[in-house]
Amino acid sequence: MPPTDPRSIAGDADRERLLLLLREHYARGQLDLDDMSQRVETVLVARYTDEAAAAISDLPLLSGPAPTGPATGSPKPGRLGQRRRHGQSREPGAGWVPTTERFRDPSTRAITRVWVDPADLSRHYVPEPDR
Amino acid sequence: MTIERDLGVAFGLVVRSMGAIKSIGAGFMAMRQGEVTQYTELLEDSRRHAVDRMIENARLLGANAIVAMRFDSSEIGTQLTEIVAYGTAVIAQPAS
Repeated sequence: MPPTDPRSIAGDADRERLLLLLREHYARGQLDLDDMSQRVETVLVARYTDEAAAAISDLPLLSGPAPTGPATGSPKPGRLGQRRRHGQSREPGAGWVPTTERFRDPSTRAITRVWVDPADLSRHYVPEPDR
Repeated sequence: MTIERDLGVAFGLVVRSMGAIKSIGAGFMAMRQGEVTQYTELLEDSRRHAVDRMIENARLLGANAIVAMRFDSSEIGTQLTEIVAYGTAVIAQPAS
């Protein structure tokens, strides 16, 4: 089986989240205006979330809670009644970048992929959509 | 892949309990032959947790990769399971 392309196309929510993070860095004085506009452009023209996330990948991690924005990157717990599992989410949050790490969850039998939130580099376990 | 620098050991540790009610369920399951799904789920979850902690620690060392990663586990008393994921944190460059 050939490795599947783990890239995810950047949508509005992804861009919004990354711009929010950039704004936070700018507000904390970690970026000057030139740098900021260059990074904003990177986010806006990127086709994939990994290209967009590159705009913040070399910045220090924001201390304190990362802003999540309206349509948010906070992990959604599983179905009601299902015990919440470590790092488990039903779907990827805004701005998350898929990794090549993939495995079959022994409890749910779902193929699960690891996604990374560029804001704090936390890892999240998201079942792959059926195809 | 070339390893540029060895940064030493990175590990992630987690100690988990099955919980009293699930333990009883698992105890009944264990009486018959076959997989004890309660334990599979607990250990799968714990391994993810340990790996995530190991990766976080490796990042703190400035690593971009971990080589020779292993899992280890043991029991503390009868209820608690300890899972540790460890490996060598390195700075690696992909082969060009």
